[in-house]
Amino acid sequence: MRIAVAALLLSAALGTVSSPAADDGTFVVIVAASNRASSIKRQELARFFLRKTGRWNDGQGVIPVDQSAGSPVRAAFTRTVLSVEGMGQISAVQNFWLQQVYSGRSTPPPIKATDADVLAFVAANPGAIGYVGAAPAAGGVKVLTVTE
Amino acid sequence: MIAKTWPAAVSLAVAASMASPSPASAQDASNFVLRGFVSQGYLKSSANRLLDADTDEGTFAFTEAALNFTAQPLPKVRVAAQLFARDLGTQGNNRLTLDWGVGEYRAWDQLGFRIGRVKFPVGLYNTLQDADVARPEIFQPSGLYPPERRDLTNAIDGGGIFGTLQLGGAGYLEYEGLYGTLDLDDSYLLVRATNQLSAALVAPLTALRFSNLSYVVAEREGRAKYGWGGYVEWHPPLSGLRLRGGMQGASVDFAAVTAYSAFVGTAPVSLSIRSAAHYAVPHQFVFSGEYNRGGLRLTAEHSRLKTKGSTLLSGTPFPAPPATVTIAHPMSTYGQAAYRFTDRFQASGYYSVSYADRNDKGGKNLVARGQAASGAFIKDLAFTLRVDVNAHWLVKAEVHRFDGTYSLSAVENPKGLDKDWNLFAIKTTFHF
Repeated sequence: MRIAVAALLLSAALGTVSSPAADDGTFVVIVAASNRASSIKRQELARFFLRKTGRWNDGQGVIPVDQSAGSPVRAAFTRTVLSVEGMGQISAVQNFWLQQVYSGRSTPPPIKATDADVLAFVAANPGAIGYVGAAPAAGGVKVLTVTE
Repeated sequence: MIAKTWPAAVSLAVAASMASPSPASAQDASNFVLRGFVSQGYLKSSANRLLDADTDEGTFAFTEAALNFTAQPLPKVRVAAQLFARDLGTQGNNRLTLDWGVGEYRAWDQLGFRIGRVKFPVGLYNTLQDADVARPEIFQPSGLYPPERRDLTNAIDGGGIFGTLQLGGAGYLEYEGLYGTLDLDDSYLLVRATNQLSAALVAPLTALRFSNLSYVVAEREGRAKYGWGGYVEWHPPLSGLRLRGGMQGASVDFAAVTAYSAFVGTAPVSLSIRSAAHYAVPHQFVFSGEYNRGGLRLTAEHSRLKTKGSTLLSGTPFPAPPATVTIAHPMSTYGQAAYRFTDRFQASGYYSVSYADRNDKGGKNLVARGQAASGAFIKDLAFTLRVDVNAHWLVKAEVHRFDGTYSLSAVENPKGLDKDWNLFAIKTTFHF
């Protein structure tokens, strides 16, 4: 507990606690409609996409799906979410995955080229989680609220 | 060990380029990822031969090629492997090897199992020894990641556990533990150790009036009976910070038969001397910290270990000395800063200090044995510029300013070792 308090104080002193709103309007996080979750903490979301953890609360495996490196929505997602792990730039995330792959430690999430591809993938996989540029009109998926 | 030809590296590169269906790495929904790279470098030192390469004259014998795949056929199951070929001086000779290959079952977030030839997690970056594309520098800080011991520290045949533990408001922990064994018959470490053992007998044999002495190591074998290691890494709730404490150890046996040819007077004689050496690292501690913010990465690592070595000789023309155990306490520290200005340019630099024995940093014990004090330490100031020309081609240029000769081989430098020396390295890598 002392360690936790000390780390939080250090974090606050260095001004690295981010603003509470994760969803800055440039992307929304989606899961399959059958997923029981309605919200997700930003740190938990980052760990899912970096495959640090991989289980929903009900024990189901998490299947993160990324967008291509040149995508503006991926840039926004990276800047807003993955920055909690010190990776606010896509190049830093790509380097993280190079390190994981070449050391045999982990595998990056599959990449989909468009919002439509992400929507289709998430709708088809109960444990999937992705992000798209705007709230989807189609069924089969739902939007998760990202909390601090 | 699969084959032994120079074309191995070329074959890997060709196979890699043909296997890549798109400019990006191959990946489908089943999470099959195929990657590869091929590198060519050039090394030039102002003095001293590094890693048995002709760096003092300048050498292009500095190549690497790898083909890597990873797949996740089931949510909890992952398999991955890397074929690797390299050439660095007398090392590697572009022989194609299974660098590592693992099967992994992650039962829970908190506990997973890994088995196979597993990359050894010494410090933060040991697992990146063969991943030039994934690090800013050409040569990693040598105290923590000694290139002369690469064959011992790269990977181990065995298995272990790993996992992630949530700490609530205190962040989370990652951990890993490994145990295994390792065949060192084809290792540079074995060649270097047995060459040093053989060379050490030249003086006592010459003192016995053997003249025109020459030798060749006729047989050599080496094996790590066991190696173990692990770490705990804390990710506190401070974005981009991770702190790691690791511990590892190993027990290694070397054996060699050296054939000496000489004359006693005008009569030619030959001797066959067998040496058996035992080398152990009862424990090594590594403490690491890394902080990332924006394009900046700051790293500091500290290592201290204990080593025990002993050698037993037979077949000598003089009473073989009893095996005595030599104990040392090497220590190393470095600090590194790397900054990515743009997606294309990254600059980095580090200062590394290593001591052969932290109880003799100035080398007094070496001087007492008639050796240069500079063999007790090596201090390395290095700067690297990395340019990612495009998504598949990068170039690195690196300069080192060294003070000291610890970790250099006297046998590989028969003309002697210079205390103050420089190294220039340039390397280009194509990857997908």
